[in-house]
Amino acid sequence: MASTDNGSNDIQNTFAIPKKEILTKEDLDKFSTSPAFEEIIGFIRDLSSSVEGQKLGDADDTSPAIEKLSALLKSLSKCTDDILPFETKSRFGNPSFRKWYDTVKENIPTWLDGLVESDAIPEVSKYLVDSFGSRQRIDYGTGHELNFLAFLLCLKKLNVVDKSNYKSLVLKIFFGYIEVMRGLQTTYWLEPAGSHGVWGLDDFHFLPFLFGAAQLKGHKFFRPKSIHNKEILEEYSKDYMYFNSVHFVCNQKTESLRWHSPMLDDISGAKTWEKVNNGLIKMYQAEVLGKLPIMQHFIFGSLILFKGSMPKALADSEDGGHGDDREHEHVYAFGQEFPQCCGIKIPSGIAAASASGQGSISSRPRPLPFD
Amino acid sequence: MDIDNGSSSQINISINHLDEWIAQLQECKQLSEENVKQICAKAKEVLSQESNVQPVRSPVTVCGDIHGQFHDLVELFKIGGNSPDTNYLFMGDYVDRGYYSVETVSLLVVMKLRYPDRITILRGNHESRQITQVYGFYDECLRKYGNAEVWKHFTDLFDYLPLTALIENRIFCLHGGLSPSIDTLDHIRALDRVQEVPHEGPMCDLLWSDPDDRCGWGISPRGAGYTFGQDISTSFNHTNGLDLIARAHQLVMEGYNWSHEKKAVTIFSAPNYCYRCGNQAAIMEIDENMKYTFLQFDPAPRRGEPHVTRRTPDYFL
Amino acid sequence: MMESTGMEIDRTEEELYPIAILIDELKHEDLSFRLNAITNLPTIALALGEERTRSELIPFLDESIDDDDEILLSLAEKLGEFVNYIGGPSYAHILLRPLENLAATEEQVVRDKAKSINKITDVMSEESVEQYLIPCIARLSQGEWFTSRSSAAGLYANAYKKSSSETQQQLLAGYERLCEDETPMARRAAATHLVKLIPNAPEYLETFSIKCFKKLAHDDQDSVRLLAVEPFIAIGQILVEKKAWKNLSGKKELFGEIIKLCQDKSWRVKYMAADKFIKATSDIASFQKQLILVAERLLSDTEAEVRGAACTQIVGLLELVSKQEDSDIKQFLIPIKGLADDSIPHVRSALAKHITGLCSIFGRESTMGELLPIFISLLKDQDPEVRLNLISSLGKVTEGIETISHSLLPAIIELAEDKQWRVRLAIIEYVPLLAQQLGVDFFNDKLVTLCMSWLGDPVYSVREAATANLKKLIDVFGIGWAKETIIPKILATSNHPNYLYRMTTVFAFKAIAPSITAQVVQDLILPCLEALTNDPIPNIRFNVAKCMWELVEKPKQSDESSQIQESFKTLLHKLEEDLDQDVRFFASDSLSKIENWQSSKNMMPLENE
Repeated sequence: MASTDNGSNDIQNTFAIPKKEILTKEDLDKFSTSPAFEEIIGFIRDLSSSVEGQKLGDADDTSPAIEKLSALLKSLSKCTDDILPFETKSRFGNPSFRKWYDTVKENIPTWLDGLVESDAIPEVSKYLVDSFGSRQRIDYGTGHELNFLAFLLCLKKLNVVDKSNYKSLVLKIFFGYIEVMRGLQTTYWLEPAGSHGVWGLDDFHFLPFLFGAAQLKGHKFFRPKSIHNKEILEEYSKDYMYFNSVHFVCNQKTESLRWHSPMLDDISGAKTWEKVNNGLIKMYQAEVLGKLPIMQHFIFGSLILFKGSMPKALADSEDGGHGDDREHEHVYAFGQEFPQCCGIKIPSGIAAASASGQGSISSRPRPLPFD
Repeated sequence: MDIDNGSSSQINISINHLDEWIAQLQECKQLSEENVKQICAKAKEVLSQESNVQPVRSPVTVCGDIHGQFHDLVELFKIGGNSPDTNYLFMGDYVDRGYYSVETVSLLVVMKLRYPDRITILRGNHESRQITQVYGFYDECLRKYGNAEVWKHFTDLFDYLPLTALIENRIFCLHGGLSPSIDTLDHIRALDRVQEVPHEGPMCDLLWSDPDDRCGWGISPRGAGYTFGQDISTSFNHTNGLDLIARAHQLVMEGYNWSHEKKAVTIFSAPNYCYRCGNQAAIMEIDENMKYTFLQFDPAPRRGEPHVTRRTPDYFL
Repeated sequence: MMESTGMEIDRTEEELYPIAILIDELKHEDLSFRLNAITNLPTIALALGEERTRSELIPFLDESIDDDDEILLSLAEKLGEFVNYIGGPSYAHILLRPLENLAATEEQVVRDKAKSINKITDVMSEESVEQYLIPCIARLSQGEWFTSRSSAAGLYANAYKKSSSETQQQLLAGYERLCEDETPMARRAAATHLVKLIPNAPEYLETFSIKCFKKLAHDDQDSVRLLAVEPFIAIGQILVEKKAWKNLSGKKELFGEIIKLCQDKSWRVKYMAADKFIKATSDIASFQKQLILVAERLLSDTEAEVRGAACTQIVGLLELVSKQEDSDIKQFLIPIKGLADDSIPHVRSALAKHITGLCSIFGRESTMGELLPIFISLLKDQDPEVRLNLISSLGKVTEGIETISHSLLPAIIELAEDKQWRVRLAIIEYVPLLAQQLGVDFFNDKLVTLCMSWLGDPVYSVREAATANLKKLIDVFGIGWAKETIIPKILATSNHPNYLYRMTTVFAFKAIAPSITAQVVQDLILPCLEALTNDPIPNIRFNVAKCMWELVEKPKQSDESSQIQESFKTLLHKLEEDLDQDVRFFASDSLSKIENWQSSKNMMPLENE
């Protein structure tokens, strides 16, 4: 893939092009106790508490940063309107998505101009570009969603936004991003990346449920079970991200919620929205930030800082055109490592492969293949 | 292999039990954890007697991926006939993604125990500890049994599934495809298959590779296995005296798809894969004269709600 | 009534029951314990006695209201039956309090159950209705959350019956407010329950019922407007009962409302109107002419769903028209023909399902002249469901079935070859019915070959249905017919080169077993089965073994029976030595079934002696 903005490794001032740092279980363990981890989860908590008891329409912040970000989201949606999907009978990812991706990638530095100091744009825009899914695989998962959060975190660290903006950052900007993503998912048929089938929380997203549950915390009447009430979903999807997300899933799939989303059904058994919100934060730490198949793709720079043991060659290869590293993006979402009970035996197949000259790369850890 | 023959067996499950369990599973009701433990232990015994290249007699009906779509498996039997009346060969990928992986794989395993000569079950790339943790089977077991024991029993059993089958020495059946480390069926027979599917090497390739329009070997976009061209299929079939390679592993819109000038065929038996792909499914009936017919089918009409009671995950308690 | 039966008797025993334990169970952490306690509430109540139930148990239930829907549901149900445990109707109001709380919960099913308030209302005195129920309804109606207001709507109709005229006025005013509630949920509830309130308040038809109907019919949400159709029907019924149509001042306007609903901008509303059209209009004699125009318009509505719903009303509609003096049902032939050519298969399908009902209205001549051509065109429809629907409703064709039989046959044959196996399956299921209607000659002539060809269908389930069909045909045409026509044809399939089709031969024997005689088994089937015991494919051999048992047990017994049993036993003994383990298993299984059966048969005469 031709790289326009970050082909070289120029580091301007203190900013850096973000790159992968996590490859092994050890890296992940180190990350889970790192300041970067704390910073991310702390940011999620702060955003979450900023919207407690708030409706979507309650975001009234008209600060320049929020206005500028809203304009950016509008530009993204316009691209979706302008770039029509190819006529095709296939229900698989539509290749027009690549055109969308390239157009957006080209324009992002311009769109960020004036919002972010120009030296920081390469670093910040990397997260933003990566938040729209995989260009090659035409798919999208929680890992991509995490990149948008990282983008917002960068804005905070650059003091583009502060705590007073958080409410609008979630209700207007993050929710606006979700709407952009739904546009992409429905227009170009993005595939779910590494989905757990019916057993995942959602084919694509996680955070709208987490923030959405925060909105409903302490509500006098709504309970987690309310998601089963069609009237409530219809009437209150405009106010609450959680209902909105459930409503969206129900409209996308044919069978009932219990068939296509047993996880959401199970969560609806929680007693309070507080429990749902706290549970989703715990679950996010374990199933997203704590999962190697997802985190091995996460990138770190100067703003979100972490150093793992990854060899430079590997860390740099992620934007390359060929094979390996792009491919296994498909195992995003709640992939797991081996529990203690089932360590893999050293396969004799590897020995056989080495003998026949196939084993040159078998000595290093490899990402999980997809599907 | 003869389950009546108690002399070599350590575990005895009565035919009545097996018949009961088959009836229970046909209603899509899961077995108890204890029963799963029993069937897996017994199935290890039965499967360990089978070859890496398990010989299969015609007539037999060959099926591809199922992926936990239990109601579509029931539909498959409505199309192809019931077991044991019809002989079946399944080429792997029973679990992951769908709602009923547990019931699907349990049913096939119990059928294998009850009628070992009437049904053959091979290993797919999803019959693996690592893959089932990402694509749903692990989550499903945890959800339906409250712990990972059943997942552990099944994934331990998966290590024993034969890798390939050979129908009347003429049709070679396997989940994925060929491997650059394998020229002859004897190479396969020599593999030590009782292990987790490795990340690379011949055993991995058999379960992961795909046929391709380009000649020779290619890097697989999946990150495991290879792509192999028509030249590879032709020479493999020639070397081993085969007519055809039948495999599964790839979604094909018509349910089956010829490639390599009819040297290879892909069969996929999960209609409307993942509730959204809109594909047809197919099975291949091979009669006693080695004449084959493809039968295509659509998703089973669905009904009602799943009969699994709600269980709040630990995170939310 | 409940207390006078049985319960008194158990009383002394129940008093010993540890009440404290049951109360503890009500607070138990485990759901199943609490559920159990709710189920046992009558027992607790009996043990406590009426007074303590009133003063202790009911307040306890009220205060410690559970948060699990399953418990609440069960509690709501039990409380509805609790009047007799608290001292009878004069204390019934005590139950209102906990039920009022339940009526405000979010879960729809719990709220629905909480309407057991209505049961209590029915036994309450008028004074206590005024004193307790009316304030309860008022509180619910002004509840902060839509759930209580929605529940309130369901309580008005019963309360109204028991109220003074002054209170009735208040109730109607309260209901009117619910019809314009800020949430569509409560308005929908008001629309739904209005149907029950209307007949209770006939004297306020214009000032209340029609007023509310109009409010709902003008609602800005289509989900509310579509619920206005039913209240309109209720209003119409009152008007007819009171013979008040003619004197109704605003009748034109009212009539205009239903026409407007029939022409609503939302198809859901039009659909509802079309779906209930006959019911909504048949009583309104003086407007029939205009209604017929509206109906014609619905039949050619722009929305396919609406046209489809209108098709379901077509028989009732034309009955209505035929009763009109100066109207001609033939004016409808043009829109009906249009529906038969509709571009949407679903619409044609709905028409095909109902159109044969028109035969009795049209009479012989018009049926032959006008309807049959439409039937024939539907029989040739490109969509199999349309053809199937017409064939399945042929029972209603009273005249001229023979005329369309020449079109019927190609339609059946085409369905029999449809690429969707479920279509093939469906047509097979209609065959026995057609056999009766068309008679044996036509059948032998045209359909026997088809029925036999289904035995060779590539899909197993179709072959299975084909064997079941043969049994039903034998039941229609008799065993003599079977011996001549179908059994020889079944026998011929046993030479098929593919084992799955030879298996069908065996399955066919099994299927027809209950409808044949032992003599048929002896003369025709036994030689074929004997040959199949040597089939090279084990699957055939073990199915032969299974089939033998069925052929012993099911056919009508005769002199040949014991001879057959012995022949089968010999063959089964041979199969018990088979190389295949499954053949051995099923041979032994059948053998032991036959032997057990024989010995039980032999036992019976002995016992009689």
